[in-house]
Amino acid sequence: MELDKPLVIAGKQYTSRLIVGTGKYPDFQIMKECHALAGVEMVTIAIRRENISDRSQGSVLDYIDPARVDFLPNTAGCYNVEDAVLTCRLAREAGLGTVVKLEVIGDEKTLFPDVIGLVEATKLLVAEGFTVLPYTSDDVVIAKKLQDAGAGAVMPLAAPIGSGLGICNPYTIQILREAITVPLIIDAGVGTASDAARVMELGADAVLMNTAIACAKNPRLMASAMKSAVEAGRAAYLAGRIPRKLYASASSPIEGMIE
Amino acid sequence: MKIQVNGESIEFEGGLTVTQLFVQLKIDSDYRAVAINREIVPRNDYDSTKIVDGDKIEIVRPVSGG
Repeated sequence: MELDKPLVIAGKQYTSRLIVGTGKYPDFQIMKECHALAGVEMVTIAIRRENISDRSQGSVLDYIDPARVDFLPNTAGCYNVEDAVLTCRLAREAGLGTVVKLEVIGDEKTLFPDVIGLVEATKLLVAEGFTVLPYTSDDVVIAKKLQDAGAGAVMPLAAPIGSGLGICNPYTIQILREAITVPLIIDAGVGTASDAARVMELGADAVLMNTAIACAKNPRLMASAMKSAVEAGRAAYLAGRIPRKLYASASSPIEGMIE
Repeated sequence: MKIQVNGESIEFEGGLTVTQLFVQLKIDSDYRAVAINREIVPRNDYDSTKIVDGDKIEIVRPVSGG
């Protein structure tokens, strides 16, 4: 796409506008193939306790090529600022880099973010040199606060994590697009390819998803569908859609009709 | 001494550094991180950091997630 500029996160240029998770796949081999089919350059990973008594399972890292794909460690499961900040520090110390997907969860049932804690954690982590990509609600006021706190991108949800509901409020995404200058990455809620295309058509710089691919009946096919959808949606956004009108407007000439 | 590693109570004879703990537990320290009583131990300090009785240790690793 010659008109497009690359996505830039932490000073690095990305061609792919699709970020994908590493969770919930039938197995690691399928995950690896999905990542290749989706053309991803960044994947999310979680940080958890080492299993002291049983370490027979392979590592997810064995199925990710760090030369081609960047890690985006998350703070999933953290319900307070302290745990989220400590998890980011642990991720950095483990050698997973300094670009983090920050989650401070505020409610177990919806997994909606605690946006107050999120802003606080963003400030702390930015001061420590992290590039913080916060998973947030689609609230424009919080998005601006996150940007002011130094977030490297703002990542509002389209719908609850893993819900596959698609875009619950397209208007707030449009407002967010106008309100912030850092990359806008829609994180969570995408259910199928048309959702991803629409998110991009609304002006998102990228989309992050996991369940929609990993739990599809055919994950590999959905991975390539998502790649196409994100590219098509982005192109359509750049191309500029026609305005909606209530009545018809003929595409064929109205002169020269036979009598 | 008795310490907690990832919530499990473990007893060791005598003193132990973080490096020795990794050896004892047969864990490769690559892509791992350690916190003692919620304080991160930098990788370069594994040899010099001594674990003491009652320490609560977290050893973490990357796993799949979204």
